[in-house]
Amino acid sequence: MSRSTGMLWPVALFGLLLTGSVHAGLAIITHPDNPEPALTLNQVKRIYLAKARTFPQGGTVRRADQAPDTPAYREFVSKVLGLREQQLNAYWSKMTFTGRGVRPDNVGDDADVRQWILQHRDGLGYIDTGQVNEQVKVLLIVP
Amino acid sequence: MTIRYRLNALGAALALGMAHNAQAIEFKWSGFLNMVGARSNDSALYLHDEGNIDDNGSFEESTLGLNAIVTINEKLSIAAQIANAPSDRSIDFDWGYGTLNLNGNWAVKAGRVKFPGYLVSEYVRVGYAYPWIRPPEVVYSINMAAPTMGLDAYDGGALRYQGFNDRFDYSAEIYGGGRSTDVMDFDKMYGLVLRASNDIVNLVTDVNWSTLNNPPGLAPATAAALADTANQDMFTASAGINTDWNNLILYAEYAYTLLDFINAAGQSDDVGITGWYTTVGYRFGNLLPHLTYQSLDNGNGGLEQTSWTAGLRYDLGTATTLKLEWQRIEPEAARAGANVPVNLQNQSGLFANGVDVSPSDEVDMLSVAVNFIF
Repeated sequence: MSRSTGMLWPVALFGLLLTGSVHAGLAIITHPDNPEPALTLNQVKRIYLAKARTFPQGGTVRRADQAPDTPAYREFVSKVLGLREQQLNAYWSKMTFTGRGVRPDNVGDDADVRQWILQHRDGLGYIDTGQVNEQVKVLLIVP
Repeated sequence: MTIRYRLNALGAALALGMAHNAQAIEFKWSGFLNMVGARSNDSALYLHDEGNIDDNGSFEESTLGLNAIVTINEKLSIAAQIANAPSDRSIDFDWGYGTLNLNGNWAVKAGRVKFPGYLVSEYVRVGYAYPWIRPPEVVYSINMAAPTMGLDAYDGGALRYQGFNDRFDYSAEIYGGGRSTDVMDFDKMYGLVLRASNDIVNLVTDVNWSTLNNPPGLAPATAAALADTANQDMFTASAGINTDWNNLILYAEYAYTLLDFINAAGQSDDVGITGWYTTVGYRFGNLLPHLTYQSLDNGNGGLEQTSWTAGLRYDLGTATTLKLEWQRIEPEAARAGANVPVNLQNQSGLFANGVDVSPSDEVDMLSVAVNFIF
């Protein structure tokens, strides 16, 4: 390792601390006006996989997905859905081409999902826990 | 790529940036494309009307499909798909139905519904969704010698109950209707399908009762060959299991059909047709090598077939897969005097009847495919 590269380590470490929240987990969020108090991991999974079409208390649910190249998407697929990406793609091809359900909207990244939630009282999304603010309601934290 | 259109009833509220609970009608379209090339080392035609594969090679299994799903609200949705049938360049109405979810457990659907009885029968044309280039033909071929009997979809309705517990999602579906195709009519078709699944395993079993008939306008020679199965009953039953666990892939399926026919003595008779296969594969990242054994047996001394397939599936990105398969097929013709319908007497395995060329005892076939979804 060269000396100049070595000097970058403190900077990189500081940056990692700042962005450490990226690895802190996922927050499953909805609009603050949504009456749903909380969700379990299995309930989130069933809604995202189109096995449940409403919130447990009965309200309509609209799902927001993140872009496949975001860290949150990869974390969501493995930790919440418990699948590999190929398995998920195969799952959605089966659901779509049998007419049983559609993949959630690809809304973008954490900031885009937060913005989208603002506009959808019946929305359900996931963001990095470090991106949570007062404009969203957290239904579940996935560490 | 997916395009969604939203028709918001409260678009003005949205424009103002207000949160709302508007009911939105969602329209989503998708598609799939299978580009398939196959060639055998025999001049006898394999999978007549499906692939027409021989030593000249064939691209006839290539398929294009377009699919639309309209979600009107959480209770009502309409979905439809058009696709070309294998070996047919024209685009047909593959399936299309409306679903009314009565509550979280009960739903009814009506329209043209894909036959739901087997593991992959509902998405049998969507190559991306399974490991093989073609679903194992001893179960899924539309050839009359295979247990599917060409049962591809029905026009009618279904009632479905679905639920879940800590271990499984499960469903029971009863359906009824009929279907008329260019080559075969299915009158008074009805059946029951039971499914259970979780992250690891997918189980399905079904029973179906149908009445076969010859469609009007059938060519006289064809109608004559099918006269002994016209207006005859058939019963099918199947069981299948599919697992995807720790990169280990397993498919196993058994399908049985009991077909009534009028035998050479002019009396009512029946023949049992059994098809089963097992596939084992292991996923190494994007690469999935797999091995399949298939067996087909027409009762009463009718035709038989076994085969081994070694295949590779390689996922390129998230929507494209490349597949390569080598298959060794060992067909047997019906024995002399076999008590089977006329249409099955001159056939050897799933190689075409009515053709002078009989296949060798061992036929090797190489297939290559690229599957896209978009």
